[in-house]
Order: sequence, then structure tokens, then C-alpha cells
Amino acid sequence: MQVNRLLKGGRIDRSTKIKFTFNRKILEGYEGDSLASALLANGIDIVARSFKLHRPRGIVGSGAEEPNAIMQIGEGAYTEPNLKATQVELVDGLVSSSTKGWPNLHFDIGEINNVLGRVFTAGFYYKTFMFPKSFWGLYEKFIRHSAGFGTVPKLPDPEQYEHYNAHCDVLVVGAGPAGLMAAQAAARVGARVIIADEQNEFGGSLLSSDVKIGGLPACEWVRAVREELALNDEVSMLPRSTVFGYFDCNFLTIAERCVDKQAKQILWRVRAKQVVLAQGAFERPLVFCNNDRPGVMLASAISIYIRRYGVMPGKQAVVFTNNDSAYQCALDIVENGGNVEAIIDSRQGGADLDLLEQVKSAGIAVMMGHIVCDVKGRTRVRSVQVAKWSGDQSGEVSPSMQIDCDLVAMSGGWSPAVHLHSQSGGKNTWDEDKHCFVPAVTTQALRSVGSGNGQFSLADCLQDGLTAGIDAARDCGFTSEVLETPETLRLRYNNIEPLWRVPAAKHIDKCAKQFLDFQNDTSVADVRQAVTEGYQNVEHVKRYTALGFGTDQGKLGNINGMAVLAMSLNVPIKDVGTTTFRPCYTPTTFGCIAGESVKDLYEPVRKTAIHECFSTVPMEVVGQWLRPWYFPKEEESLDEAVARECLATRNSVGIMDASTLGKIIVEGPDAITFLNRIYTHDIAKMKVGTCTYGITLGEDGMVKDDGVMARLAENKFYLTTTTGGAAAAMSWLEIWLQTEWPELNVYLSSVTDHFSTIALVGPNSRKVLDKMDCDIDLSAETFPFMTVVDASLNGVSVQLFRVSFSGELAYEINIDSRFAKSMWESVMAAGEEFDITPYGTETMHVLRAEKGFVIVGQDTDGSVTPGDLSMKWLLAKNKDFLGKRSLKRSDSVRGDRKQFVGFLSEDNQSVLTEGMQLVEKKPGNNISSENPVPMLGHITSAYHSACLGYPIALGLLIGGKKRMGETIFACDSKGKTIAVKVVSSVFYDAKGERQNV
Amino acid sequence: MSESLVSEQLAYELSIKTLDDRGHINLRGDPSDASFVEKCASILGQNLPLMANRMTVAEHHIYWLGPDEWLISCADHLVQSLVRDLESGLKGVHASIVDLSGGQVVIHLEGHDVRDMLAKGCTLDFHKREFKPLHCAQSGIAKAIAVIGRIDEGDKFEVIVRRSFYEYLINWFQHSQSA
Repeated sequence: MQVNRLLKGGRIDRSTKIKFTFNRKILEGYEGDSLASALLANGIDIVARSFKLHRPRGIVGSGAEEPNAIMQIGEGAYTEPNLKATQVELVDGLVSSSTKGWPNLHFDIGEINNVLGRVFTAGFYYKTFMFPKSFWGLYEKFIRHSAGFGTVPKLPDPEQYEHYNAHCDVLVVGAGPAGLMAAQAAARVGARVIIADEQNEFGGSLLSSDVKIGGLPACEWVRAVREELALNDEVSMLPRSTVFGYFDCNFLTIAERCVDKQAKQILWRVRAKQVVLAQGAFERPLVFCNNDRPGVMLASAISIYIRRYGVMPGKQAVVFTNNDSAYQCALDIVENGGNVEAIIDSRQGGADLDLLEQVKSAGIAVMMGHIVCDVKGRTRVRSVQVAKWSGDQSGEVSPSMQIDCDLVAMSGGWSPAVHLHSQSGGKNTWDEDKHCFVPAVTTQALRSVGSGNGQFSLADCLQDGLTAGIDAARDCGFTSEVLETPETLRLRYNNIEPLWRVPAAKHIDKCAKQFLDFQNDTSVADVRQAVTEGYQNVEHVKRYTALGFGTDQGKLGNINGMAVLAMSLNVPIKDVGTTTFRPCYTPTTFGCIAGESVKDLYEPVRKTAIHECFSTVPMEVVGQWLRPWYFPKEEESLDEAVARECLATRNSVGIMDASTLGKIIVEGPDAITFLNRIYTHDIAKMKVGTCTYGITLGEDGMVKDDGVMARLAENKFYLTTTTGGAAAAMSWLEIWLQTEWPELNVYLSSVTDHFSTIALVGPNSRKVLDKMDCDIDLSAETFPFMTVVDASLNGVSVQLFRVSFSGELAYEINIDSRFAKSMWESVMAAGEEFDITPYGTETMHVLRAEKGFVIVGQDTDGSVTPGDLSMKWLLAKNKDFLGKRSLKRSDSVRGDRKQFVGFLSEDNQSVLTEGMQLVEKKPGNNISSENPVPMLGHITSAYHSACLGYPIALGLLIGGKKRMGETIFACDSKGKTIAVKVVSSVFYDAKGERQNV
Repeated sequence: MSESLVSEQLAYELSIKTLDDRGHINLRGDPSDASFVEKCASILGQNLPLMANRMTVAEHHIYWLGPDEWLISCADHLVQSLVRDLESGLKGVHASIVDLSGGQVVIHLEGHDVRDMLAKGCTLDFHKREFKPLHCAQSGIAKAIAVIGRIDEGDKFEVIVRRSFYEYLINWFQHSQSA
């Protein structure tokens, strides 16, 4: 039963009933309701239990400021915790439940905390759970059970999310009167405008107002502006869209909740030339005893529920205010058939005379100079205690009467929503007249307008919006049409006398709880205690008392909290300042931030041009590339396949797709000079048509990358880089060329994707090429090891390299990727009679390890010098090169550096594990953190070598080169220990004869 | 022109076509060297775009990639002769001519919603007033690097992507189109 639903009025569609559930109870609302308005319509008083004290709580606000009505929405994989009922649109079948309260909302065992309230004061967690230290594990379980709101879904999110990048001249944040006015003004002159508002409908405060604007009822004016904007192609209107982040360079992020799209949410990444912030203002609560009881609500929220949703949240109201704006709430209640027992106005100086006249003629009693000092009723307000008050905020008062009521409308004034302004880097200033922080210094191209700028009358908001819209458009180069502010009522709504903490019948430290932050149960006493304990800075007090820490980020309570802090410290509020405002303005889901970059689209998968030939092959991800790992025949295991591939390659011929190697063309008259500075070896010595293995060092002298390079012509070189380091290597070269040596005439081009590379490896590789239609003489005399020629192979031009990463006679065929797949098939066909064997990355690793060839990034880790790798022969003495000076640093030449050597298991059969630590002695039982075993190095590569018939390993060992033949031990993390002998890193064909035939 | 049709008109009013008959040459040289600019123009039959982020569209599509770098997208059967002519014509001039035909794939996007689609993955502003005909840019689309050009007065864009990223990008386009 919608017991609180008014018979008429509101922007709801009474012809469309919507069924939903709250805590399993089936309820009904109307289209246009928020979950909060529907709950209120159904007479639901308690929607939550508070975080720490488990006090029953009801709905307080109507929007992003709501601290209590935090809901779990949806079920199963679709469930979402932490949504505010005030911001959830009611849709058919909506499933909602409260996130606190066990076993249920009306009987919550945790409410015992409320009785123990004196114990649960500021810093409770810090003080209680510290000692004894060993109990933390127990404490943590308890805290985790009590903490947090709601439960996260256990299943992957099935919804779709999207990102859009948007650009505009003017971004207007907020579609209330000021925002709409600004958008209309900017759009009229042709600017590209985006206007975003977090609610389902544009209009802001006008949606619950009956004032006239330009002769039209407010909602009609809103509709007219909205229609004008909708017809303008250069305007994007984003309702249900929260601007939650304001970053540098006028980059803002918007989370849109979609209703008619496939995506559940869209993240808009907006780059705006100008920004107009029309975020509005939050009404402040008043801080009196038991001000958190269900039925105590913000005055403006009550007006919104009445006028926008047709819901009367109570039968008998008391309005308690320190300013004029709440008088409208009293009028709204009476006009819609409710009772207002009295307006309790704390002010000494009186109210606006027109307003007084209006409430008087509505039959409402006003008690000027009075306060509500306490509330009776636990699960719902039953009555209020009223006292006469002289204006002294620190003393005590004597209640003079009790008024029965079930609704308290409170207004402690208004706080402009300065959140985005602050996020942008702007500063706020305390307005002594309006008693609120207002935006002051801005550091980006933005304008704050309307009540968010401290303009509390409608006419001023419209004027502010209009001016900002015109100015913002002008700053983007749009001028001409002049729009006039529509005529409207000019009210004086900032007539406030501050009342930060309402005096009580008892002393400030002995009275009932006066809540500042409802969500975190932070009260006046907590802030006072923090000050007593020595806290002064607002950021420290925030962390000690949890003031403003909730999902509402203190939108309701922060200003009151800062004022109480100022009072406690006896300093002006401006000296206390605000805490830092950071994104997100309201909680934003991870789904929205991830967008479509999930599953298959999480990371690009790069495939070589030959990939289609490997449809049944297990693949390995290397960098972003997919590479064949090994080529199992029938039921073969990895080890079996690799053993077969290794033997076939060493004994006959193997073939591998090496296309993922980074490839760079370097060209220009200064190519030699340039490469001489980058590489360690002497480039000038290279003859045209020859290849060399080269390494590059970082400025720190550590090996950075390696690869074979070739001199293709006098001033033209071809470099290869590691697969994973290709992009970084190209950037490295360009950085030096562009920033340090711009005088060098050198051009670079990446040909990584243009060329595919087929490695043909093994003693029969030449015979395979012989069988193909090749236009060059392949004999060792005319085409020797480490040379390159342009050739035609089966009628296709290729670059043919005689290079080897296995120690065997081998070729690399570089071919235009468009023809790579058919070339692979041709080579396979030509090799058939030699049982040509395709192999993948695993066999490649074994073959190179047998030869002791390093893999940069596997055998090295950025702390390895050429000397450590026994590669001093690659360091030219007759020139300078990057990193050369660092090789003379004391650390680079110290005697106990780790050196790259080989290892053999003494038992001849245990394959070591990569990452095993090397130690001197077999560790005994006396190892402890106080008595560790010195670690001498670690294993970087380990395989079973089928060709040798025993396991081999490579690794880094302190002073390794001097320890040949010695036995040490390799240990893994589980305590397995294997005795190993230190040997040369070259296990196979030490003289290198096989590749040079 | 042979075109392999990938998809047409799903949720978006947009067609995506992959062209398989284009060749590419990376050209580097000094635009302040008048003889370089003149020789290129006479060999290519059209001017190199010298303004940042502009392209020239005639027989070939020539993209400005950087202050001294251009991408020539041409019919693939012309690549060899163009490379030969550029190499011989620019002899003695500091320049670099590199055939990239095997490494690039051309995708044409056309239709009313093309800008929306691009805006999903690319941070550039594709508004008609900003990204005008013959504007081009090298930028990221989703997590791939691509060259993007507006090749006519209407809603036709050319996207050139590295061959190894092609499948990822097409998947991304198709996903975006259906979302």
C-alpha cells in the first residue's frame, strides 16, 4: 500500500505501476519514482542500520548526499552494492535490499554498540585493535564482517560497458536553472555543447518548484529549453550522467547510466575548451540530539518528495531551520494536505517578511528564537523537545515544550557543491555573509555558476548561468546573439544565521549523540575528543573520526563537521578549511572504468602472417604476439615433442617462424656514426653484405637488447631486436636521434610487420634451399656464414641471411609478409624428403641454451654487464658508445659480480627449475630468518637436452668464471636441493664448427 | 578495386571494408630541401603534404606522419616502380625509401556513424569542423596504433594499421559496432 502517496501531483506516471521488492517484500511504485520515493510512498521508515552503532536509519535526502539509504540492487551476477536509493530509478522487477542490519533491519544485534556508544568513540579501531599484536588475525575477521556495505557479486559481470571520447567547446555540468541557461546561451551562438546531469530528467531544483520563469511554469520552461537544445545538432544532452572526475587540461570523465542501449554504462572522456559548473548546492542538516532518527529529513528533500514524486513522508511535521529556505517546505506540506505543527526558527533577527506573511496565512505557527534540542522515538520520530534560545552555541538550554510529530524538516543552510571546482585545482573561500565555502581561484578554463557558486535566488542563478554561457562561448570564438535573462521571482534565500551545533539540555559532552556524519556515526563528541587528543588539522581529524569517509564522502556532514572542529579549536572556519576533494564525485563501477577492454579485447593479440599454418599448435604469448610453443605429434607431451624437434633439427633440418623479431632499417650518411654510438662493436669494420651479432647497453652500462644486424649498403643497415623489446628499441633509437643527436643525418623505419622471417635450421637446410628455385649460389664459398644476399626464391624476392641462433648451418628468409604463408608451405614441401620438422619457442630455447646463447630479459635482468656475460670481446676500444663510461664504475668492475655460466646436475638427470637459488652448501636444519643461507646467484634457464642426453642449465653465479668444475647446490622454494657442477655456458659444439660450413 | 566485405550495417549505420590491393612506402627526407620536395612531387605525380596532419589524395594517398616522414599508400602494383624511381631520383639526397607493403592493412570506414565509432577508441576530435577532409593523424585506436585519414568530403575514413594488429582492430570495430 502506498500509504504516503498523494492523490495527485508529482512527475510520476500513475498509469504505469511498477512492482519491486525491498528486503524480499513486494512493493509497488510508479514510473518516474526513485527507489527512495517509492520506499517513502510505501511508508518504509527504516532503510538501514548505521555503520558502527547499528542505529535504525531512514531516508534523509533526495540525491547524491543521501548517507543512509544504501542499497544492494539486483541479484546474482547482476548485483550491485552501495547504490543510494535516492539515485536508483525505479524499474519493473527491481530487487533491492538494505546492506546493514543482521539478522534484520528491525532487530539488529549490533545495536548493542549503541548502548556501548561511549566506548565506540573516535579512534576506537586504532586504540582497540592494536594490542596484543598477535591478535590481529582475529580482530581482522571481526572487523571485516562488520565493515563495508553490501556484498560484491561472486560471478563475472555479464554487462557491457563502453567508452567514448568526446570533445566540445562548452561542457555544462548540471542541468538545473543555471546549467540550462548556460547551455542555451552557448548553444544559441553555435558552440558545441555537452550538458550532463546525474538525474533521469533535466531541470534540477525546478522539477519540484512552481515558480514562473519568463511567464512559464518552471517545468514548462525546462521543457522548452530542453526541446531547443535537442534540435541543435551541436548539442549532446546526457541525462543520468554523473561528471565524476575533473582532471588537468579540462579533461573530465562522465559515467552515464544507460536505459535504452546495449551498454549498461558509458564512460565519457570529455575534453572541453570551457567548462561551466552548475552542480547546485547541498542543504545542510542541523546538529541536534538524536538528529539521525528516521523521520528527520532535509527540508528540501521533503519538498522534492512532495512536489516531484507526490509522496508525503509524514503526517505531522515540525520544521526546524536557521534560514528562509525551509519555509517553502512548510508551505509545500500544508498545500498538499499535510500538517505543520510549527516552524522552529533559531534566528534572533527574524525571517523574510513576505515569507512570514505567507506561512501565517497558511495557518502555520512560527517560533522565532527557538530550537529543537532533542528528538524522541527510536524507529521513528515521535516528538521533539523545543527550547527558547538566546544565540549562545556553547551553553545548555531548558526545553520548554514537547511537540508530537512524525516528521522533522531541517535546514541548516546550503553548501555549494564545490567538488569538481576543487578537483580541477581551484581554491574555495569562506563567505562570511552566506556562511558557506564558495569557489574562488580557478586554475583551469571553468566557471562556477548558480547555487554551486553561492547564488541562492533563482533569478541570480539564471543570470549567472546566462553570463557564463555567453562568456564561455565567446572564449571559444562564438559571439553574436544576445539572450536575455527570463523574468522570475527574486527571493532572498541566503538570510541565514549560522547554527553549527544545536545546544542541548545537557552539557555538550554529556548529551545524547548529535550526528555530523550519519553514514560513519561521527558525532560532535567524536570531533571534540579528537581535538582533546591533540588533533588539529582537518585532514587528520577526518581520518581519526572517519568524518566524511563514507560513500557519500561527507556531502551532508562535512561543513558542519568543519564548523564544529573550528568551534572546538576556537578558530574561524576559514582557518580550518576543507578536506581534499578527489574523484570520484560519486562511486563509479570498475566495469565503467574498464569499458570494452575486457576478455578478447583486453590486450591486442598480434599474429604473424604464417599464423594460419599453426591452427592446431599450442601457442605461447610473447610480448603481444602469439607464437607456436611446440608442435606435438599425436599424443606427444611437451617434453617428448621438444626432444624430437631438437634431434630432428640438429640431425637433419628444422623450421621456425621467427617473424616476431623486431626489424629496423637505418639509413643515411651518418648511419655508421649513429650505430657506433648505440652498439658496442665497431660498425665501420662491417663490410657491405655481412652480418654481426651486436648488443646495446643502457646508460648504466647494463645489457639492454641484442640482435643480429646486417650492413645492406654503404649507408644502410638492418637491425633486429628481441621480440618483446621491438617497440622500445625503436623508441630508444628515435629518442637519441631526435633529442640528443639531431645533427646526425639518419632515418629509421620499422619493418617488423613488413617482413616475415622463416628460420631454416640444421645440417640439411642448404639441401632444402637447393631443392627450391633459388637464383644464387648457396655454397659456403660464395654465401658464407654471417652474410646476407638478395635472392629470388621460387620466384619471390627475399633477403637471405646466413645466421644461426642454434649453432647449426642455418638460414633466415626475410619475405614480404603477404607471401610468407605460401613461402612457408613451399619450404615445408621442399624439406619433406629430409623430414623437415617445424619447431616452436621451446625448442628454440633449448637449441640456443645448448650453445650458451643468452636471451636478454631471461638470462639478464637489467643488472648484467657485457663482462658478466663474457662478452667483453664485443666492446670496441677505439670508440665511445652508450654505457661505456658506466662500465668503469666501481660497481661494474667489482670482483664479486655475478657471472653467466653453465650448470650440470651431478646426478645427470634432474632438470633444474628456472629461478632456483644457488648456495654453497646443502642447507641444514638450522636455517631461519636470523640465520639465512647466503645466496650466490640463481638459475636463469634450464632444460633437458635431448641432443646431449642430460639436463643443462644457465645462470648467474658470483665469481662463476673462476669456479669451473666446483660443486654447489641449487634450491627451489619448496626446499628441493640438487647438487650442480659449474661448467662453461657452451655445452654443444664448443668450437662453433657446425654453423660455419 | 577488389574489396573484401567484413561487415555492414549492424547497430551502426556504417560499413567496414578491408582493402587487399594497396601497397605502402615509408618515405623520409627533409622538407626544407626544395629539391627533395620537387623531385618527390614529380615522381609521385602529387605533392607531399607539408603541413602537419594533412594528406594529399590523388592517384596515391600520401600521409604526413612527422616533420620528415610520409606514408605513401598506393596501388600495390605500383610499389616496385615507385621505389625504384624514388631511389634513383633521390640519389645524392638524404632520404630513405622503405617498402612496407607487407606490413600494412587498409580499412575503409564509411557511413553516418563513422565518427561515433572512431570516438569510442580514439582520443582525437573527429567533428566535421575539426577533422576536415584531407586531415590525417597517427594515433591509437583502442590499443592499436593506426594512421587515420579523412579521404573525402563526406563520411569516409581510411585507417591503416600494422598487419599484426589487423585482427585485433577488426574485432574491436565489430564489437563496437554491435554495442
